[in-house]
Amino acid sequence: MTLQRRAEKKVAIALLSVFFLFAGLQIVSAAASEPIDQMKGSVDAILRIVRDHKPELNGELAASFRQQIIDLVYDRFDFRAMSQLALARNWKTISAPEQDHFVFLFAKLLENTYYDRINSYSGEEVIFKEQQKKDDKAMVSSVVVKNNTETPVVYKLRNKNDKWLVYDVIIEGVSLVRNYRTQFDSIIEKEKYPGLVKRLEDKIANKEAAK
Amino acid sequence: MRKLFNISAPRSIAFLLTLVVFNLVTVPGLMAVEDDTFDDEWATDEFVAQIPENNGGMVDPLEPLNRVFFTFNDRLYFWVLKPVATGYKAVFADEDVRTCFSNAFHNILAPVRFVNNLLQGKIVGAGHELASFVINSTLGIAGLADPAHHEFGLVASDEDLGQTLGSYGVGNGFYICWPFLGPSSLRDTVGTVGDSFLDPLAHLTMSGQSVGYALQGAKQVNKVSLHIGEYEQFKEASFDPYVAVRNAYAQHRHSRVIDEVDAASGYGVSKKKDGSQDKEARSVEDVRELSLEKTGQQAIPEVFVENVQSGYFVLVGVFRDPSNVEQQKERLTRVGKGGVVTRYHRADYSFYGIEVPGGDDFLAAKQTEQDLRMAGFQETMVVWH
Repeated sequence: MTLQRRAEKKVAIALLSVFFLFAGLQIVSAAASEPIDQMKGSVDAILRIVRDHKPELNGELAASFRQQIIDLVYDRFDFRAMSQLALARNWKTISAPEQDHFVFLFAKLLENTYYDRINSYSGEEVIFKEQQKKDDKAMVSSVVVKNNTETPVVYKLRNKNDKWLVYDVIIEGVSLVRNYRTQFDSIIEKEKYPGLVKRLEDKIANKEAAK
Repeated sequence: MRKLFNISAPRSIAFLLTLVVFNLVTVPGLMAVEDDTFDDEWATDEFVAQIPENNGGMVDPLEPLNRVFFTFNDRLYFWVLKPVATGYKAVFADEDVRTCFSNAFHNILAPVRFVNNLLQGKIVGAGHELASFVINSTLGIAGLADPAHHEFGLVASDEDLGQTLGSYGVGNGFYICWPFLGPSSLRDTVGTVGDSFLDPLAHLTMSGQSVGYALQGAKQVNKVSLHIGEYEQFKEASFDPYVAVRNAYAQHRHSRVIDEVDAASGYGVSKKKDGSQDKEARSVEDVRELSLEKTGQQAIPEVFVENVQSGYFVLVGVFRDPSNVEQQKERLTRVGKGGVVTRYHRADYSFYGIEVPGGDDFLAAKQTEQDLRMAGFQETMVVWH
């Protein structure tokens, strides 16, 4: 193949990817209204990155892909609402800057947890099944299929400016937010709020140290 | 980790049955079945009101003892079960083979599920179980394969006596963490004991035959080998694993009793309140095709953290108001540190973080953090981009 032919091919590929990108954008905007489509869009985009790039580096994702995945997560999850619900009655007892700080910490923790899950991906299939909508809330149910096991995962979402954002994830009937709420409650009871912050910081620091 | 061995002593059965009668009389409906479709916590205008937390209806008077057994089970997992299962996994490297064993263990418990479906008046579920059992025991070669599901589209309707009792309004009683068996409740313990009469493996174990123990052990090891790493991840994400497991158990069993999980995954006999049951629930195959159809390229959002260099940073604070950012930067300058401002974008808002570069490795960053704390910056943390 001559150099020129090669260059032509490259241009063609570039044009094609641009085309697909726009086609993709159109799909996104057309489907933007339904919570199930928005949720599926995010999950599919994340899985695509993992499927396309995981085999490259002995099954470990490169740092640049980590950022892409994390961005997609932050684009769909309402960590502020999750923090608020997880702290429940304790949320109002802390100051606004403390709230912001807490949201940052809790999001970081969930980000790490989620990324671990993604990184241990081994060919599971995610199937979105149905949605229920009521005013500005929605529940989207999905199953994660691996071999013969189906794990039901339900997302609870809230509508904010036509964007459906996740405020709870329910895996096999276990709500993430409620699970953390009982733990946070028991920690705050024993160690007060600063104790909880310390625990969050320590956990995150351990994780960051491992990078 | 649950159910390593079934309880066998008849005396303990009698004791537990006395307890359940007591439980029926005094604490029915401790775990109130509420309409949980949409969280009521959002119903209030400021959506975090006083939310009563009751561990999902699970009281825990035995906590000190339970914690001992929890630690015991935890050690058992890390010191015995996991190493054994890892070795076993190396022998039966093909996951399909282990899935077949798991199918077979699942298949012989069909009588338990059949009876409990009937006890809950779930005729369809019982029919599915019966048909699956017949098909899988014959065509599926003693249950090793699952043609009932894959070829005939029959889905398991996973009911046990604990759920049956729950559907009759029997409360959990209280939380019990059994050694070897793991998390349970008074009600579910009674259920497990009752179900064991229909469990061929339990019969072998109860009659004292070593093959019974061997098979129970094999069942558990096989199961663990298919789920290595899951308990670890769960534990890592939690602050008090004991409380996390207890709450997860309560929530999970609650959802099983009210069949939330069945409804959500579109199988079993769904009990949706609005009567629109199964209208939208599509079969797994349908949806699989659908999702393949819709999968196109999609735009990835632009980088959500601005002004970022790579490496470790010490985050000094997060602010939504830019004027606070300037104040904080001045404070940093006074103690001789330079901060960079990073803008973090979230789904519906963004905020600023002030970060002091912390060098290439974590320990150096930790040292920088220490210096900053000495200088009066308390809410710091090390981050990595």
